[in-house]
Amino acid sequence: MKRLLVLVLLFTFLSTVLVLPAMAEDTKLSGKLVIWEHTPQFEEPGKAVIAAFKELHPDVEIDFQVKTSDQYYNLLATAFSAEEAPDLFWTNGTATTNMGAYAQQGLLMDLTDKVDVSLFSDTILKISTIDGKLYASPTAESGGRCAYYNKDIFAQLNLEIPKTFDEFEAMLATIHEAGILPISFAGSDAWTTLFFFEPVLAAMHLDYTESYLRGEHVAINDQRVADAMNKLIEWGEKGYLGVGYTGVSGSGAMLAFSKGEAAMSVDGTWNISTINNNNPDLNYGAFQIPTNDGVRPFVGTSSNGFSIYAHTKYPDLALAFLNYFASLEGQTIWVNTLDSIPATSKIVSENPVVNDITQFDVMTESWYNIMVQNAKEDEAPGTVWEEDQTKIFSGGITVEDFLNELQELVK
Amino acid sequence: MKRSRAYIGFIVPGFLIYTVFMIVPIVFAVYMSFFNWSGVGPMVPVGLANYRKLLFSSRESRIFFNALTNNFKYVGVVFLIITPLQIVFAYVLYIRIKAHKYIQFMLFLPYVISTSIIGFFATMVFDPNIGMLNNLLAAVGLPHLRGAWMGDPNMSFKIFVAIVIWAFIGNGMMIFNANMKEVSHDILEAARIDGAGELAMFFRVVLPQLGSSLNTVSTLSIIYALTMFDLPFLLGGVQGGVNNTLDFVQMVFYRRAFGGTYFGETSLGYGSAISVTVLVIIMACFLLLRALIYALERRQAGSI
Amino acid sequence: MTKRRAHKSISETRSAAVAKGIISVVLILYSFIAIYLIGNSILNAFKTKPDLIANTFGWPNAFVLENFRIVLVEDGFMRNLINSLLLVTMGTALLVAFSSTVSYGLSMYTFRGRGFLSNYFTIGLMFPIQLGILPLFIILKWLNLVNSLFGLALIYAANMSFSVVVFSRFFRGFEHALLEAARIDGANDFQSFIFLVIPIMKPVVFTVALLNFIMIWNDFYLPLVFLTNSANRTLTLGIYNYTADFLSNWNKVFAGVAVALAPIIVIYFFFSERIVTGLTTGSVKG
Repeated sequence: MKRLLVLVLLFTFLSTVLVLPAMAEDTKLSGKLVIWEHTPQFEEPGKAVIAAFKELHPDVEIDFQVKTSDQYYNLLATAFSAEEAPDLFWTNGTATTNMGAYAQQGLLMDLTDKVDVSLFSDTILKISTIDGKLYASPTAESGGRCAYYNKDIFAQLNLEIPKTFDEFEAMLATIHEAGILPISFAGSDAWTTLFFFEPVLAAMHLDYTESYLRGEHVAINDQRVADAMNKLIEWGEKGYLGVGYTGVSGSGAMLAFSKGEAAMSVDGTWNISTINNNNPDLNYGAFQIPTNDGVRPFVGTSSNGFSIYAHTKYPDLALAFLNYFASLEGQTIWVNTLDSIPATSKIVSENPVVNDITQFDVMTESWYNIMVQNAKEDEAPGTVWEEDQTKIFSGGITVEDFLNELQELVK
Repeated sequence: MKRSRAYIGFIVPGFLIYTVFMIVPIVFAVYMSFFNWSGVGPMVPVGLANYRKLLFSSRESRIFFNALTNNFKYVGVVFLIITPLQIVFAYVLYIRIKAHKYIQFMLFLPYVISTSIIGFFATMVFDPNIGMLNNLLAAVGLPHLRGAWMGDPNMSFKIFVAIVIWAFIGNGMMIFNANMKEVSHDILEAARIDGAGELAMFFRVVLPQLGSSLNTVSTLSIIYALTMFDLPFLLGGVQGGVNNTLDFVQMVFYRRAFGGTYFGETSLGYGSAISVTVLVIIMACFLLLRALIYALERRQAGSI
Repeated sequence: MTKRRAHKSISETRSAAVAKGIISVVLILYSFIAIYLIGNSILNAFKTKPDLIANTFGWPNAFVLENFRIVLVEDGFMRNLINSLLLVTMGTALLVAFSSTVSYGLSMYTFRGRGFLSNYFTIGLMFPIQLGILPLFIILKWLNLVNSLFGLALIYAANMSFSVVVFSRFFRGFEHALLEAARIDGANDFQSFIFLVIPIMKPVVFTVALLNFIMIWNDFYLPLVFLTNSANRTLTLGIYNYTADFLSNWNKVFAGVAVALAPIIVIYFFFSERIVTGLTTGSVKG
């Protein structure tokens, strides 16, 4: 522990030493930045990075505005049209079409060689780069999925972290028979469904995503994908996902887990600080659902950070902030305030749940990413997916029809 | 009626504000509906393609007409359930049942609570995991009755209607009640002397007098029904609830114009086409309603 | 004959009384839903975080004010409350002023194009305001009113179609003889509007003001779009941000709801009779 602390201090010191000379010429930075973030989950990390930046530059004023995700791009488009855009703002990078469209319209500053992104690997930088030009700083957070489990319930039922997928499935039955909710799951929310479905797909058929990563073509409506979706439906019918899971909202499912009312929840890794915040007393950990060969896959994606508005009034200040954000110091604050998975070994987390999650064997691709990256020109499979995903649970569409309609929109 | 130029002074200030902040956006929306435009960048003229897509492409038209059907389903509920209920409540308050002051106070109360709080209350009650309804059923020994509620395609619309009744019944109810209070006492006394009971009084004397309030309430309800957005948005999410059972045209417009939750494919041109289509439908409904009320009034006038 | 009828009427009265009693009891039970939901939220606002997690539907173990401190001080709900009051006051005042004069001009005078104008002013009833945000944003920017409560109040004022309909109904039944008398006394049209008409139309003004007060107070959509600065956020927008993501705001959401409900329930408690009668005047006649 002590060594860790020394390391962290050393890094902080080093990065300060490295960053300070670069800033020496403009230590008198001043002005006002407006920064937009898309969802409250990133409010605390954003505030923490800004607070640290303001300590270096006391004359700078920063208005950090957290929107709600359902309105975000709409507000941003409106702000662009009215030429009232924020100086820095989040986009989902290349994971959606928005950043590309903005770049094409000349609304984004080309950050190539202006922002030091040496912290990030080439894989991570893909999310912020279009045609070799950098349009945002990524974050050093690996947005992945994991199974959170309640240690008290596991101890009470003498359960251990499963070693194979069959063990995992058998465990669900045991918990269910004991009268406890095995998995708290929001069947009314497409995104929560995705964060549950993808690790199950990886555990059942790791070869699907792995062959995609090897450069082979995989179909969106592949039988293996259908298998994994049908598995979720089967668990739902068996009662493993709780009574009436089709009516549970994303917030409600996570809340039930943090209240200790469910043995597990399979969801995004960025929820740790929220769970801790809600119930600091919850005794919980996390694991990756294993394959039957005992491999623990981790479905993780890179996360994008902020872009700079091309017509900002304070370009130097915006660049200074983004350079700080992209620095080791900035990202250490960001990732550790969020309590999420660091995508680089240079950032060390002290959170035991984070360290649980990093115990995986392979990092693999997200099915959703495969779908979006291979979308046909002018088609938006993401929209159709979001509209129809939850209907597979409520009988509105069969898994087969659902996957076929998506396949039509993909190359 | 006067003939004087003074009306100009009365109308012009309001006319300017209304034109700038209401009519100009409408005209702009009609204009946008002929373009392919995401909200940033160049507007590509596409003629009637947006309208063709909405009305004839298989997926889009299915979603749109499903939502439109829900709007009209709700109009049906208004006339068959909500309005009769409002009249009945108004009448029981009118005949001063016990504790009528308290009951009036409580029935009307939810009307002043904001929709986002109503939506939150609904989550607190109906969420299958953390909501009080399933917890209560388990606690009183009826765990087999627990359900998905808003997540059950056979229940969601019914629950939605129940929430609407709970939250918004007060306004129309009090309009009917005020109308009843204006029924002449002489007529009531005459009926009472004839030995009419409360029920007979209601059907023979009070109900026929409610024409003007019925006009007001149905106009208000139809506007509400066809521009329905806030409550289903908060209850069923932007995707329109389980199997689109709580999808309404304004929500389809919203999804298409402004995108989904994280995906955010904004399409203001296509969204405008949806909105203009809805505007036309609402106008048609109004003309129809107006003609209907006019015909009814004519018949009533004829019968007296 | 008379005897039989009297007899029947007594039994009917008795069964009617029983039926009425049952209705009372049912409706009183029904009212507990509202009491419980509101009461539970207010009680939850006083719970500590662990208490709230373990015991969402019961009585608090202890009453603490921490949640209120966070909501009111850290998250600036006091500021939001003042913004809401400013916005609602300006919006309602502008709306009543514009819509009453427009309706008066439309209803009390005859001129060419009057029918067209009447229809013109009702189109707004059917238009979803969401679609107008982009042109509205551009217009507001052009007027230098983005991020201003006054700019938003103007948009609310322009949403006058419903109020124009209600006022017009009222004016249709107005006594023209009164105006004639005023004119003979030497008052011009504007003087008679202000000194004669407005005092008479107080109840309908109250109705329109109140309906719009509630509408503006409860609206979260337009503030979300037009008040992007956290310094001028409104109360309902603050609440919406909490409830839209109640997972991260679990301890704050109840205090937020309590703070938002308190003023409106207090007002309603003291003025409910007037509010209810006010709401209905003007909507019946016509």
